[in-house]
Amino acid sequence: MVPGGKQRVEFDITIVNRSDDANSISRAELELRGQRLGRPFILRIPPMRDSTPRVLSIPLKIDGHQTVAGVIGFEYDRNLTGRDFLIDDDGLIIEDSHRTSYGISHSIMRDREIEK
Amino acid sequence: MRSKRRDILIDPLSIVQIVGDALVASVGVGHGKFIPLLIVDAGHRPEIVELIRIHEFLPSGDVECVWGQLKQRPGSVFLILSFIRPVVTQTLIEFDVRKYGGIVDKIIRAHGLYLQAGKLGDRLMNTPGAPRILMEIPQTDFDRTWESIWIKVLIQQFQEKGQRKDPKALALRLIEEWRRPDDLRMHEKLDTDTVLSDN
Repeated sequence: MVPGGKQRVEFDITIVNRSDDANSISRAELELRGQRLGRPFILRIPPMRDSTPRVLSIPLKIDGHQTVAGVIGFEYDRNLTGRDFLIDDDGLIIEDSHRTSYGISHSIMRDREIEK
Repeated sequence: MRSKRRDILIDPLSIVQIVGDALVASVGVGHGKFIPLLIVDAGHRPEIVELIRIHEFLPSGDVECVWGQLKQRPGSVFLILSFIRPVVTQTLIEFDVRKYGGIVDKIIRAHGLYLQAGKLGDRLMNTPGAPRILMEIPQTDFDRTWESIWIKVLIQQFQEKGQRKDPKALALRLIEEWRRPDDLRMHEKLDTDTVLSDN
């Protein structure tokens, strides 16, 4: 039986817009990468809605030479991934209003914490 | 306007075959139009089964659709579906034009389809609770190319059945008759899904 319950993942991030022009984060996703029944499997989960001030609300405008900081959180039902999905890595994917994507691997973030 | 043709490399293993089809009309979906349902054999593509199941837990996803043909299979057209979210995967649905030309035409005219994973023998009537996803199939240059492909195949079929006298006129008439129910809409007072056909 697939275990029930919720899985919650949070990314505490700082984003700097170094250009003169305003930009925005148009999309943020939690990407789970792994294998399902021996085949590569990639799952993308949208962020949860949360009205607390520290949580960044997507889409988010960032004016030129401005910085935003906060948390992007994801919560998903464990039934979503199922028991056959072996997750090798997960990460945050952010897309700006120019449709440029940026990825941050969760495992790299954990490694950085250990280095501190 | 010129047709935008481009070559795409595809994995032959990503092709799925249709095992069942139907037309479904629901109030509030596609203005109540009849939308084709495809049941595909996804036995060798577990990620397609998962993609459909996972939609139960997440909001609507994104998919890019391209119609195409393979040189190795001239009698078929393919709908290339590149799923971007929630699951990243690609699949090709093969439509043998002789068998599924009518369904291709309905998909193009309805600008959408329901996709359900199944196995040989599955029909809408015996899998009423099975998960399925609704996809928008945008209008493309292929829509005009399609009509000439279908007419050519229908002419060939009429000729094979011994119909030598103006097979093109017969093909055009068949298409006109086939498209006649496309203007029907499910009205709000009928609050259940209606199945027009379940082949």
